[in-house]
Amino acid sequence: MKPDRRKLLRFSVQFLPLFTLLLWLYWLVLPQYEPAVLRVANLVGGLLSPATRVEAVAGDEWNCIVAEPDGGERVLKRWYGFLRHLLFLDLALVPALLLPTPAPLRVRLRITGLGIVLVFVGHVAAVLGLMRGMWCLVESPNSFVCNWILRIAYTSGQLFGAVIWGLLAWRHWFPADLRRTG
Amino acid sequence: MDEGTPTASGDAPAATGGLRALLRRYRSLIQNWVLFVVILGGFVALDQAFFVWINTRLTEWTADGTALFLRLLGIDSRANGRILWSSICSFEIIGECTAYYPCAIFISAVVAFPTRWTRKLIGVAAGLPALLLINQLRLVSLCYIQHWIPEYFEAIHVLVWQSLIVVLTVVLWLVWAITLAGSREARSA
Repeated sequence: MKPDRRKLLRFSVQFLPLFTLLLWLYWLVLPQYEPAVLRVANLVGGLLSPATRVEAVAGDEWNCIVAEPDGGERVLKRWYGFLRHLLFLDLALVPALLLPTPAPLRVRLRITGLGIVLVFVGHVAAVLGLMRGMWCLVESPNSFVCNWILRIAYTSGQLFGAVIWGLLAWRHWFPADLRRTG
Repeated sequence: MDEGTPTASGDAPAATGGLRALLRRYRSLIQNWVLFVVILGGFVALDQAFFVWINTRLTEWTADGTALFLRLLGIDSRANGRILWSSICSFEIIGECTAYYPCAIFISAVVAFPTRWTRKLIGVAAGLPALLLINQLRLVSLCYIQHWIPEYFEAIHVLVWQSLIVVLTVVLWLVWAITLAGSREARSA
């Protein structure tokens, strides 16, 4: 078997148990992870004008809240339970994709750590995209850009997962094609 | 201050130089990755521009396909618009249930990979039907899951299958890149 095909087979065999384990860990860390993401996103959202924030409410729902000029607050949108999983699913996916990368263990652990940091940044950006996109649509209901931002935010769990994997793992899969020693 | 002690002002150029060297070393990788991200962003914009088409035609075709596969498995099923009815399950196919985004990820990665255009076209021509088929398998399996273990339907639908379809897209792309795109590494092996 050619070395590349062996790498692919090893990746496929390692992925499934890793993904199962990480999915179980996902459920364990979600109660702590979700507030951390919302806290950072709300911190940034609070600095923007008008201030927006996302609040987790009963039943796993999220409320998008915007500050009114009179000092009050208004709920712009309520998202139902599965949205957070749609957004956060790459928290289990990205490490499961990065850990079986064909590279030495130390490198795999380093890119996985970096991947988790990027996933967190991506989640904060996605929550910000959701709240700013919703507010933007209230201001200009047919805006292409606002809808585009919202669409990216809604599909970010899948898209960001692939993007982060590409950034961190491609050079280990195809070093000769993608690396140029300048 | 000791001459050997690095100063903050001395560290900054070193760090900038290090970053430059890193960017130069991985220039090709970064170019390909940026192209991948830009094309992917373009696909999201296309979805937005043709939102009505994707949310009607594509969802209806997907529902028709799932009904057909279920009938092939001996289950009484039919699609009415984007609603799938069968003797064991019923659900509505929405835009996100189609293979649009896995196909977008796959095409973006294929186009961004440095190889000949003919190989990219072969990759897209072979990869898209495979992804459409995988998506149909996903929907058929979800139908059975709704019938057998409805309490796990949402978790499997959103978490497991959404992740698995990204992984299968990645694996499909890797298979293409290793076998069809003829990476230098594979050629030298």
